[in-house]
Amino acid sequence: MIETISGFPFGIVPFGDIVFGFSEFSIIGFITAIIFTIIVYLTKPEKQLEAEKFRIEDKLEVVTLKELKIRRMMAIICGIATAGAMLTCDLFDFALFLTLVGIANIGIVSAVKKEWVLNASYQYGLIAMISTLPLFGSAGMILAKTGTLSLFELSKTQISLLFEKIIFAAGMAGETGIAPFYAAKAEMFRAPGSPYILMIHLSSLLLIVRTVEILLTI
Amino acid sequence: MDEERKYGLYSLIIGLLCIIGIILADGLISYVLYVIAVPSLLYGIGAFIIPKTRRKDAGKLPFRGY
Amino acid sequence: MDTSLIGTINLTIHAFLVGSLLLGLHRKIMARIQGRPGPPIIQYLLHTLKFYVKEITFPITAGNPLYMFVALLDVAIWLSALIIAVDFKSSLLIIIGIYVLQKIVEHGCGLSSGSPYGKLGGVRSVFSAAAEVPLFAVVAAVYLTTHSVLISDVLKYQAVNGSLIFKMPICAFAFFILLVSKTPYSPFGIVKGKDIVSGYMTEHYGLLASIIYIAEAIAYFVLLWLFIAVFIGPSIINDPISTLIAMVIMTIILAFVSGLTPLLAPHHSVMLQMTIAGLVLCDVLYRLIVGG
Repeated sequence: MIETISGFPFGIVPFGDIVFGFSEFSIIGFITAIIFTIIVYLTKPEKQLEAEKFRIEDKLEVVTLKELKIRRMMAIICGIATAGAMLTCDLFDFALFLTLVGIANIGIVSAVKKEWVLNASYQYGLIAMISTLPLFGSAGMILAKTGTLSLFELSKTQISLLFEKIIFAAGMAGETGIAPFYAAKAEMFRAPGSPYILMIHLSSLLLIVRTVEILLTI
Repeated sequence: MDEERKYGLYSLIIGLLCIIGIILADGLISYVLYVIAVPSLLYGIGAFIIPKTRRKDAGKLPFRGY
Repeated sequence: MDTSLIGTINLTIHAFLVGSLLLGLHRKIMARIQGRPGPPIIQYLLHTLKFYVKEITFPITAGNPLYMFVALLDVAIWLSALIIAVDFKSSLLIIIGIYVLQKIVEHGCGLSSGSPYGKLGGVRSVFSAAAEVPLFAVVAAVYLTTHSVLISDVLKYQAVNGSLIFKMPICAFAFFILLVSKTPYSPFGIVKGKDIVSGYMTEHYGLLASIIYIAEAIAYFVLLWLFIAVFIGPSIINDPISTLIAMVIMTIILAFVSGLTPLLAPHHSVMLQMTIAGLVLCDVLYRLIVGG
């Protein structure tokens, strides 16, 4: 079952009850997340040119050192959480990593001292908080129905999990801020400091692909 | 050495290391190294072919004059 | 050393040359439709080679090394897409993960330069993320029909049951719209619209532009190959000559679409893509309820 979705499986790391698994898909996602984390650590934030209202000249926006440090730390946490979410083969762990990425995303923009960015991150935060309920609720219902949360075991069961899958997808959509909940997140992307903003985008996109893989597997 | 060639040197070194890795390794890892090697070699070789910039104020954005 | 890697190197060069020439042909046909003589077909290739030996400077506003890295990443992701799709015939889901990384490249290119035009291109690229929703839906529909997302299994299924384009026309249409939005000068090409100079590529010139051109040629080849493989089937894709003919026909159709339609406004483009996404999602739900 897993071979038909995510390519050839290479093996698992039995690390207590947190099982990490390696397949073609998860290795590519893991490498991408790690490489981006390193690049984000190395990159100096860009200086943005912003057009002034009612004037002809431009203003140069610079990210200060104090702001840079906290944002870089949150971006690295976000990258590590994404890399973990790529490898884990446990539904509860995946939900946990997903919420951690959501929190780190708010953290990345919360150090920016601009009203509209803070407003957008507050609204995104509300959506992210609300969507943890369907996320963990779905994981709980799957556990109650099948008695396991391991993806390897879930792929073997014959019980229909359609309702739980739909709830899980809804929770993921809120947490990563895709189509219906997009408005707040698009505002967040306008903040200066490209590498950190890029981390928000990358983490949510990789998590969406991983969620689709999980939903097709179980 | 200006900044463009400095990064070019770095990526040339990465590309050459990847080629050594491709010759030594086999299986999936050689494909991963190939994917890393091609763009780094493209930039690394290109950075030493291109002429030195003749622009007066190098680095200013052409469309905004900054 | 793995000897099968030599085949991959061949494939890379083949994809680059075919992609470049097809993009040149696309531009030529578009010009003829609009009553202009147009550039020669090898123009795209000439551009790539010419820019490869042109100077670059890093803008003082740029965030390095991200500014340089995104251009290299563009080549890397489409090379891996080429290997995974054409060479390994592996999972469609990985290809979509890679297509999603293309968005990161566009966003990163635009943001890292610090130029307002680039930033606008990047933000538009994030904005038009609605183009990915049909892609996920297509994969889900393919999975529900063929019970596998590996390209080799999809090809086997088509060898037995006939082309998927007749079984799931809505999904094929959605994938075709994706191809349209990836071709240059298309109605959905808001990311590179001429109202924002060159979109995300405004500050990537000279050598870096040449590297991005190489990546785009490979991307065009891979996307056409995917459409032919997933929806038309092994009868064409197993023979390189007929694959090439199918690609030329696809390019002509795409050139007609690009040549005859105006550039849409950003929110109209997103709205149209969302409508198509809704259509495909309805199709997936129908398949889920009926069962295949």
